[in-house]
Amino acid sequence: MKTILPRQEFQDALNAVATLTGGRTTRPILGCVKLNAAGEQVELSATDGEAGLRLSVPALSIEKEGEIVVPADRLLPIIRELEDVEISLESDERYCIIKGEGSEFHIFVMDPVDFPPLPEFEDEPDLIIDGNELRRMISLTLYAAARETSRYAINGVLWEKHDKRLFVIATDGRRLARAGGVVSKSSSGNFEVIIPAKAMSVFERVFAPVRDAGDWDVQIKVMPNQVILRTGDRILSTVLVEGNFPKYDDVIPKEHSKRARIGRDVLLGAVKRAALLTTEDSRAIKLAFEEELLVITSQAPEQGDARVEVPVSYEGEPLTIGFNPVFLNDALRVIPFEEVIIDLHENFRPGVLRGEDKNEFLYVIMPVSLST
Amino acid sequence: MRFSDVQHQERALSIVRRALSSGRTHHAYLFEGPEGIGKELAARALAARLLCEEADRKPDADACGRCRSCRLFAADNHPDFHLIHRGLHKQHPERNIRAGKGLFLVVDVIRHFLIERASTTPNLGIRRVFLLRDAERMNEGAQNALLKTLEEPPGNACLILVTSSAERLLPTIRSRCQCIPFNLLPPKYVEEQLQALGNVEPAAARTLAAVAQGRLGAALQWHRIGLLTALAQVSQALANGLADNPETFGKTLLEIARELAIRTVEETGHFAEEPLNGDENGETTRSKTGSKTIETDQLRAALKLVLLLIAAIYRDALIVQSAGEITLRALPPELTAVDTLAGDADADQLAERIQAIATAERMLDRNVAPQLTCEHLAIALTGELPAA
Repeated sequence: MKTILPRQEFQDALNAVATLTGGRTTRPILGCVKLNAAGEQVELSATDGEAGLRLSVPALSIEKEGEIVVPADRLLPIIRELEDVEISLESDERYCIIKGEGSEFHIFVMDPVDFPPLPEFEDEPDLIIDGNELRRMISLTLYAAARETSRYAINGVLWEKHDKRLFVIATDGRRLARAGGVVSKSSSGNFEVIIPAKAMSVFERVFAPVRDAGDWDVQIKVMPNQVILRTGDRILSTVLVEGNFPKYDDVIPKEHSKRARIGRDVLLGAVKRAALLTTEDSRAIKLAFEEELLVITSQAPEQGDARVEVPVSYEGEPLTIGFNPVFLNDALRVIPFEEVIIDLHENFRPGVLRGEDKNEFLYVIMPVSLST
Repeated sequence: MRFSDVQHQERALSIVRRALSSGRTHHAYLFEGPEGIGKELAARALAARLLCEEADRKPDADACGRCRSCRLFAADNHPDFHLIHRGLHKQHPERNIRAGKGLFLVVDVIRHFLIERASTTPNLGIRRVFLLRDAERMNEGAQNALLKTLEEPPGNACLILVTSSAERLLPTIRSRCQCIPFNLLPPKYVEEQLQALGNVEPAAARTLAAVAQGRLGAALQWHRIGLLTALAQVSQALANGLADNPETFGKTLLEIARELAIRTVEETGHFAEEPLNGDENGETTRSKTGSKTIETDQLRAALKLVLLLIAAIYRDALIVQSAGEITLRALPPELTAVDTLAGDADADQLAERIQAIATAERMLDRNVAPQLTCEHLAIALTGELPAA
């Protein structure tokens, strides 16, 4: 392989694939990036054994096509520290030779044959969805996914396609977030897959909208063991989580007798202030709803207590209910609405947080017992 | 990776082959038997076969060796094959787990590298296969954490537990696996393989095979760490050392063990890591001969080898004494200690001393200090009971 690449673009691409090669790996080759110079571009591939990422950098020139596998944690810092606009990349069977103005680096390479194969995006996509829409759905739900629980199905995020809509659902057993969006093009039937949370956060980091471009689409291909997402030349593939996602419909309360409307910023600020006087052991704030007034109180044993009052528009009997402020905070932070609606029923029944977007986003949160 | 690489294990292989030919493989196997007789080789052959993508093959044949999966497997790079071993904690994302010594397979390692991986779909589409080396090194927490996955692995996953002491596994683990026992290999075969694989001199091969008693893997490793040198040293110490006081004899044994341990460490490349900052522990032993640090764990293992050598010498002495038959002797006739010992004691005394060696081994298992164990053994071997 012999090619000349624009340094900045190459560095950006390496930074993106480093989200997968960065961690500690059991196999050295998983810490490597595969470079494939062909045609007019160089394709970079990396995998952590679960998710795989591919993207391309347009080459300034390719003198000799070929593939090499280079340790990413060596290549990236070199490219970062070089100050040239263009760098030259060359390889033989043992070395990858990187040249900039006055500098030359030789890194040992590994055999490209040993690089784990990544699934190809073949045929037509199963569905196409607006990129910003998908990013919104992921950011509205991902924080609610469980981390390290023995119920592995909920360590992932459920994607449920239902006719022209796609729902993304995450839960950790104590709260549940669901976001929905419209699919712009669909050529497959309905499906349900559980995608590992790690792959979703890689998506968030790597699939950002291009600065000057307006709309961008994500093409999605669903296979029995994998899901592949593609935007332009970026391809993210991931294995799926085995098992069945809990029947989340049963968790969403069907009835409510009380409804509060409150500004998102007002509530977020109040929750944050009240949470200041909670402890690791007793993470609970008490929300007392009355007509026109919400009083949030908290107590840190042997340290003090807090009381925060905010105006609210509330319909129904007065109700006092306890919530974990972390859970409220997680959702309020990412909700894009100015006003949130809180539906409540009893103080031992879950509450539902939603916005005015045709009920597509909702956040079910289990109350905390206030008996003590 | 072929089943035919595993020799003299017809019974074990026939169980596996039968399962493969009927297409009803179990989802959890326990390959059990002494160290170094081909369990892991067989487990890898089974794993390769379970992952093989070639559709058209004879039901009980090996993996095809040509498909994409087999090529990746041969390169030790298969994305769906996971070897779980005690060094894995060094790759764990959490720092305090990486700082551990890796004596046990702890629950975090099992969770991160096995249970979580098993819960995702395989990369190549058939199944994931997990091979647990030294499965008995799972501590109780790890074993309990594994139960659910072992009973019902997600998807088509298969777990192969390899162990040399199945009795140290919880009954709940054992009952969830199909247990496949592996036998000791014939000494003649071990001798041949030592010459073929390890380029060992015929005479040395015979001695190693005799001491290894059917454990080829152990014999090969012993050859690499120079066990025969240690045998000569032990024989020397026994021939002239017993007259000395027990303390000197114990020190000599320990020194031999220490050298063995250092050679083991050099050979396997597993140096004890320098303790991390703020994690000083006094459990490492500075060796006298070099500046390298060896773990007490490794010293114990080496001392057990020394005990094995002493036992082999006494066994021969017993043979010489009772049968006088040179051909039955396992060790080379140059070892004069055998004849000295045979001349010194009668059969009953020799048998008692072999008992004493077994006692010393049990003491080591119970974490008695190596020095103390050696001295105790020395006293027992001289036949002098300590003054009351």
